[in-house]
Amino acid sequence: MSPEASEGIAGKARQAIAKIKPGATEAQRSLPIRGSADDIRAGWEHPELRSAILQDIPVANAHLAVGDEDRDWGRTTTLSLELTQAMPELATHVLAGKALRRLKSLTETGEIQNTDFNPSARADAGEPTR
Amino acid sequence: MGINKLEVQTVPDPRIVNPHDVILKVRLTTTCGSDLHLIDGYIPTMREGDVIGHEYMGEVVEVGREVRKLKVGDRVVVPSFLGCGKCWYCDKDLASLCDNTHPKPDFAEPVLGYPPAAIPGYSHAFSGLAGSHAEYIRVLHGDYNCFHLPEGITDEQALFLSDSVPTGWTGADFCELKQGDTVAVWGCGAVGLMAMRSAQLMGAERVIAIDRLPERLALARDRIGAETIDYEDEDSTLEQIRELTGGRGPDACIEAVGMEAHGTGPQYALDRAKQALHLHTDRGSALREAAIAVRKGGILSVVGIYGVIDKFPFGVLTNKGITMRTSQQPGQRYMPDMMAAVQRGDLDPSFLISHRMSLEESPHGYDLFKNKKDNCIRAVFAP
Repeated sequence: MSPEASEGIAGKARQAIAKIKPGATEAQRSLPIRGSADDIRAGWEHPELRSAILQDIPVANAHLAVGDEDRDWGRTTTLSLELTQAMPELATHVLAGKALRRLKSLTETGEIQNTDFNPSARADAGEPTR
Repeated sequence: MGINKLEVQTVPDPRIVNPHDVILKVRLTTTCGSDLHLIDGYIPTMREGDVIGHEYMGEVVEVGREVRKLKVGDRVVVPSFLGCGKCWYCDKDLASLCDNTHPKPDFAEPVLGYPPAAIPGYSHAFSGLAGSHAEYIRVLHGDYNCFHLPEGITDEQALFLSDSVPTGWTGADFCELKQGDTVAVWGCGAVGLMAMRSAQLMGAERVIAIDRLPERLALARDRIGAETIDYEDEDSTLEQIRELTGGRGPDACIEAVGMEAHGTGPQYALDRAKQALHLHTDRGSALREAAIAVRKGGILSVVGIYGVIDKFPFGVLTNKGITMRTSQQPGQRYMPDMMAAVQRGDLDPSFLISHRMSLEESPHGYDLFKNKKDNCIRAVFAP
């Protein structure tokens, strides 16, 4: 498929999605995170780690609430985001989920997965994504 | 590079990114039927230049600073889906559902609801991580995902413990087999053959294998001891299965074919036409047939890979009281049992290798594999 055709399809998709629910700037997501409340907050409050958690997400304000243990799933943790730009509501929720999953991975495993330095036959291969 | 266009190129080597990472020198890596869905363009989110391959074994050449159980020089096999070993799912031995290894969960979540574990070399919806058809590969959470290979398990045997064996093993495990049970397996590729052998090891008395390729049916007969049905030779596969099981149907059916199934008759022709027109991604003839063939109250175990299928006869499941189970394989869960079976001599998957070649020859290997040329079961590459 040519780049022009591909971009044309992508543009139409963006238009269609935007019609569903335009203009949301706020989103909230919850996930269980295994760890103490202190551990969860430590990752969130560390400036460098928070920067990694929110990488590529246009955030104006963010708020984290750490709840109670949900059996052996972990603590129900809720991230509320206010974005700098309006997006389709679906997209804002996905972005909030992406950030919260990074915090979950950081808390539970000590690292956030990414594709930095990923080999490929593209010009940007082997470079950091951040 | 693109749909049905593979190339071998020199790319940067992977490096340690996170403290639990391991870098392996790939010793063997193989084609998988699910790669064909990528190559044929049925799985979205592939990018030009992506490195494919997810069934492999190798040698540790570098470890991250938090890796404790591995050292340089260790010979290991890695299940294709990568777990973290810490989340709720890994804790329950469901590593292919891991919550923490997918680097791009936002690619998967809108389609799947929740992201699965990462698998390398299998599109950006499934991680974007570079695959194993390379000299080196980065493995996330090395301590959890890399399994030491004891003396007595060869590289050729170990290779298939990465994916074909655990996928077949998963399919058989889902069948909750009891001594004397009969299992029918659709597909005599590597996964189907390993599902058959696994089912026997779990107690199945009879295995019925369904395919159309004579060389694969011969493997099922000669290597596994299965009864075989060539569906292109039969007026009705279902009638044949019914007769072979005394009229009651198999206790369990395992579907090991996936979205590019072949078949016969008008439904198959319709599937092909709709797939060609991108009205759906899947040709589901094997799955439909397995659902209808299984006995009342039986188990339908699906390890073939599907995208979006329509015309699935769901009422068959309801009205016959069928339990359907499906999953990507959590190889970490089964690795000790699989290795023990290999060491005892009860399981030797190395016969799956029909062609061995260099990585540079891999496009030719995929041509053989995809088009079933030269009796190809699996092309294996030694980088």
